[in-house]
Amino acid sequence: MITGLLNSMLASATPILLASLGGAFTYHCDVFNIAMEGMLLAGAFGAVAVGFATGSWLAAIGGGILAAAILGFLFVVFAVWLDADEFVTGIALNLLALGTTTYLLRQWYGVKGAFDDPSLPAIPDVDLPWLEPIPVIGPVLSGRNLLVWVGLFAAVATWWVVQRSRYGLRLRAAGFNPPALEASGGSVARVRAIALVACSVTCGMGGAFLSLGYLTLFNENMSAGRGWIALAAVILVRGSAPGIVAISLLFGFADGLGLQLQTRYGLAPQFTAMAPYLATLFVLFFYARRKLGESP
Amino acid sequence: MRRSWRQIVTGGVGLIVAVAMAGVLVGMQGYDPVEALTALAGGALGGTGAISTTLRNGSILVLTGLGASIAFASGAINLGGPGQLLFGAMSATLVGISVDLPAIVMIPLLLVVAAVAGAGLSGFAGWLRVRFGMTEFISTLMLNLIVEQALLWVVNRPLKEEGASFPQTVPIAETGELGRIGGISTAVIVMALVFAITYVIYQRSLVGYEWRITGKNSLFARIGGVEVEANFMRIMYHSGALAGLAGGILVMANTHRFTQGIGANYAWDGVMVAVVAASGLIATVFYGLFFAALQTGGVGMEVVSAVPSELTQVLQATIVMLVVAAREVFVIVLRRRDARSQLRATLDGAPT
Repeated sequence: MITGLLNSMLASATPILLASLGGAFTYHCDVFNIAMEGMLLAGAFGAVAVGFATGSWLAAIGGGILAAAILGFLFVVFAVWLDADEFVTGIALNLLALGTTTYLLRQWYGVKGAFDDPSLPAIPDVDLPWLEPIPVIGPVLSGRNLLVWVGLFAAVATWWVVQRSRYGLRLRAAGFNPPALEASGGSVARVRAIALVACSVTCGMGGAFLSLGYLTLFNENMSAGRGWIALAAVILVRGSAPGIVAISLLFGFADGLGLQLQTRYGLAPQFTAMAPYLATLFVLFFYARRKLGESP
Repeated sequence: MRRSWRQIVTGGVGLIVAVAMAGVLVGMQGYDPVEALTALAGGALGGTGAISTTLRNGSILVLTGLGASIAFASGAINLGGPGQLLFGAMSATLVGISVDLPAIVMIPLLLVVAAVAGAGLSGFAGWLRVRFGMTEFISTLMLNLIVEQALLWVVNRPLKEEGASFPQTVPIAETGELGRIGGISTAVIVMALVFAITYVIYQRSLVGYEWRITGKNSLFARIGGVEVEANFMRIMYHSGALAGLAGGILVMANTHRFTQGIGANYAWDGVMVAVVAASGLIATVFYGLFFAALQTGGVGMEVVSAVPSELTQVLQATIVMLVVAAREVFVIVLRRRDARSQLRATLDGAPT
């Protein structure tokens, strides 16, 4: 049961982890990126569309990234170049993603609701046979999806880029003191554009994991609020990569626990589906309490 | 004056480009654009039945739009419209199936129940903010998803109509239905009344003035003696009541019961309406009705020309992007013009 719980925890944490790592980039350069929900959805659809056309899971991941990047590009055009309101842009982009994926689902595949086809390629799992004899750790770490590992490596990479690289310094400067960055010869717009590209890449992979890693199908509105949870996660841990890993695992744990309660005790699936949303509210509650304590 | 003129220009440009975009999108998919757009217009406005449907759906959309608009304009980020709408719809249904009173009592009762339910849910999110400092932006979003799942359970288990193949409740009492007068849905009367009340509160009363000031500059309002927290709660209540009411009308004028997937996009479309209307109340009515016409016409277009009605969803989001872009470009152009005339005045030696 423990390994089952840990397995589903890792699986449901991964899309949130990937999306929030991208969100960390935009958080640090002070872009209020609420388009992650749409990016995840576009990524899930793009992966299915390319996967169906080519039969290659690698190309499918690329398709997911490309679809999310289209939204990222629009975000850059509107919010960075045209200086439109980020909130407005993000809302419009989310709805654009929802409308376009629903429309194309109908137009290309002639279905409403869900599309699945045996020819859809699944993103492979990584087997680590030498780990398997070790109890608990072996079965949990071996056989995980490729993108679960990508997510964990992305967390390390994000931490390094944000905290240790030259670009990370500029990124934080763009958020902390934009005029200072401009004065020292950097370009705030460029730093922000790159952050949005990074966010598109991770959200595209997160979306691909939803449609071709966890399952092999596309559902209308398949992101189901995960982009919003990711946004909440990023804000709550103030964009720190280790914090994001911890909080994503927490959400994944809530999800996995719900699933266990459903299969073992027959709890209605609607209640188990609430678990990550309730977890978000709880985390928000404790975060707000801590903040109130800091500034009485 | 200048602001409203600007809005009309950018709105007009947005609409013209939107129609052109629709033609191009339809043409790109290999359909005949003229035929499709004619079918769209016919589906939305051709005949009393079509107009009634457009107005009915428009009323719901205007209410969710108003709910979002007054919240955004007052600095409350209430994104809980979807949950509040569902909660209002379910509450109206619950009362509608359990009591049977004369229509003159029943209709106001159900409307009030729906509004109170919506206000209760948004009030809860407001309370979380005021009491615990939990930002309403995230809590309303999470409450949407929680309420959606909870009501999905209700309609699949305890309240599921026996023998029905689809998860839905039994219909509400007929006296609770909002019928038609002269072929036109009476939902529009409710909408007009609620709009009038909201407009008066928001534009003509002291409390509305305080809300607007808070939205523009919360610190200024606080220093000026506005009770920001109490007002925040009032805004949340009002905004949630409008969304709940939209849910009630949806049940009373359209479905007559709560079904799985009810209200699909009304609330998020309402957020979109508020955004494209820049939170102006009159502009919200205009865009709400326009988007409803697009959606209603889209269904007609699908029947006549085989263009999937989902195209209107793409079109709506495109319109929003275009209007927002037009607004920004307009501001940039104006700023440049002002800068240029200022420069010229300085060079001419005239006082600036």
